[in-house]
Amino acid sequence: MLYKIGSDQKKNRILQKIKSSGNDNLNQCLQCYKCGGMCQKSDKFDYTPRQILEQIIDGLEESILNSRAIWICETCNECKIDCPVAINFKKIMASLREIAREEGIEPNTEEVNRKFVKKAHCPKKEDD
Amino acid sequence: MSKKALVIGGGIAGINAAVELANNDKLVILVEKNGELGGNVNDMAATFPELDEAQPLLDEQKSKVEDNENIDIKFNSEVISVSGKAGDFKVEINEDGNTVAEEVGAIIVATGFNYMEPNDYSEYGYSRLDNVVTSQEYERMVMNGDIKKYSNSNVVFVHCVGSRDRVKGYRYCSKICCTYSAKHALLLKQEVPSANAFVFYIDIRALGKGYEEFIRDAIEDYGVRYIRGRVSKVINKEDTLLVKAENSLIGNPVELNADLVVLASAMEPQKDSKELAEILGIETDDYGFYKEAQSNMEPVKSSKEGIFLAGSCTAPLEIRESVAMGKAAASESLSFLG
Ligand SMILES: Cc1cc2nc3c(=O)[nH]c(=O)nc-3n(C[C@H](O)[C@H](O)[C@H](O)COP(=O)(O)OP(=O)(O)OC[C@H]3O[C@@H](n4cnc5c(N)ncnc54)[C@H](O)[C@@H]3O)c2cc1C
Ligand code: SF4
Ligand code: SF4
Ligand code: SF4
Repeated sequence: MLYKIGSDQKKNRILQKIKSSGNDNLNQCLQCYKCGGMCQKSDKFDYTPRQILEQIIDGLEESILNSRAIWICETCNECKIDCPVAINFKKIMASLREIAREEGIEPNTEEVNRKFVKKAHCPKKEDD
Repeated sequence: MSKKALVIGGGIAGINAAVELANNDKLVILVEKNGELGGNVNDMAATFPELDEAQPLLDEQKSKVEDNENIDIKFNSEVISVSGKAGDFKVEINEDGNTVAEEVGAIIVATGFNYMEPNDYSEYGYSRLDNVVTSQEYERMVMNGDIKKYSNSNVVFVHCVGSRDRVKGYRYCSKICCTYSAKHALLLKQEVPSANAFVFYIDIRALGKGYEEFIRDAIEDYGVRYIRGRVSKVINKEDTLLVKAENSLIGNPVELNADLVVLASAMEPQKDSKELAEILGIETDDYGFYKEAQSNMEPVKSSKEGIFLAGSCTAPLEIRESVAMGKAAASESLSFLG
């Protein structure tokens, strides 16, 4: 889908939210593809972790919040442990689920992270 | 054997070759086609990877040659014939219209590169659209302050124009445009903080000490946005430019409004490099860059004994490597200088 890059990062709501939830190193990502190859769940994802990250930078909110990947992620943290710049996807994915939930977006896959399903009915936020 | 050496080309490689020889008590004839020394570095604002100001650095280099009594600089001059062999070459030089004959023991070729005019790239609108310039023109804009007018604007830097292109350009990679484009984006953010810098790339090639960190600093500390995908088109739209590409990291076509588009064009061989090769009796590669005697072990020897190569007349190179080759070529010529 064609999209237009805006120059004003302040208008990029999703980027601002992800940054304020403690992920301020997004632009250190080398787009090296290691995370996508190592994630146990990425074969079920529509976007690999780094593709989600790239879309956050350009503010492609609709596509991210409607993606399967954010619900399937096991928040296992493996991708962060072996990422050369320690991008914290576990935290990013949790924030994205939270934003999706606020927007009233339901998981669109059967493969939802079970840890998250339990918590979805609980008013408390997901753990880090 | 003649004590004199001939250096052809007064760019940064030729300057360093000449100074090194002079420091070894050799007499040097330095033949420069133009009316000034310095070559392409004359068009440079600052140098990667430290962002040193280029002109003071160059002036210091030039003065080492100009103040040297062992070096005879011939401006507006070209070599017209060469005969003889290593240790005893006979050379004719057209010195500003007059033919002069010289005897030299060794020859160092340091004629540099030409910066490609990307006129064949109609998809980028070069020479047709205002505000589409080459990287070399952009260096001038930094030096004369023209970039200051791009406050609150979007400036797009386009990699690989004329390089990595079998059809309209060259198959090779120009090696340093990834790094100088990062330098250009960084200079923009320093001089005009309100401007936004975007760089479109195929892959990022940081081929030298400190270059990777330099480019990452542009991205991470200065917020330069790198988008992976070769620019497809630049279209004139009302009073702005529309840049079209694909963001290959997510597979989506992407558009961006730009106020200035900067094309990192190819470093190509000098237009007359094959003619000079003919005069000297040395080989070139298919493109017209001068060919080394052996690519791993003999980086500064040409295919002919007594003739040496230095700098970007052999391939696209940065300053540091051109300087090193100039000094190495000088050192290797000593054995032919009696
Ligand atoms: C836009 C741009 C930005 C750059 N930025 C950087 C940077 O930040 N850092 C860096 O390290 N490098 C940079 N470079 C590369 C740098 O310009 C080269 O490394 C350097 O100019 C090479 O020096 P040279 O002496 O080999 O060739 P040149 O600079 O091309 O000099 C060659 C000289 O030979 C003369 N000549 C040519 N033919 C003849 C002939 N037949 N007879 C007599 N004389 C002749 C020419 O007139 C010229 O004076 C940049 C290049 C470009 C295009
Ligand atoms: S492993 Fe880390 S650096 Fe590499 S693409 Fe994934 S997030 Fe980016
Ligand atoms: S945290 Fe999520 S994205 Fe990262 S490896 Fe685990 S499942 Fe994959
Ligand atoms: S150095 Fe970079 S911009 Fe230049 S041709 Fe090679 S890949 Fe392209």
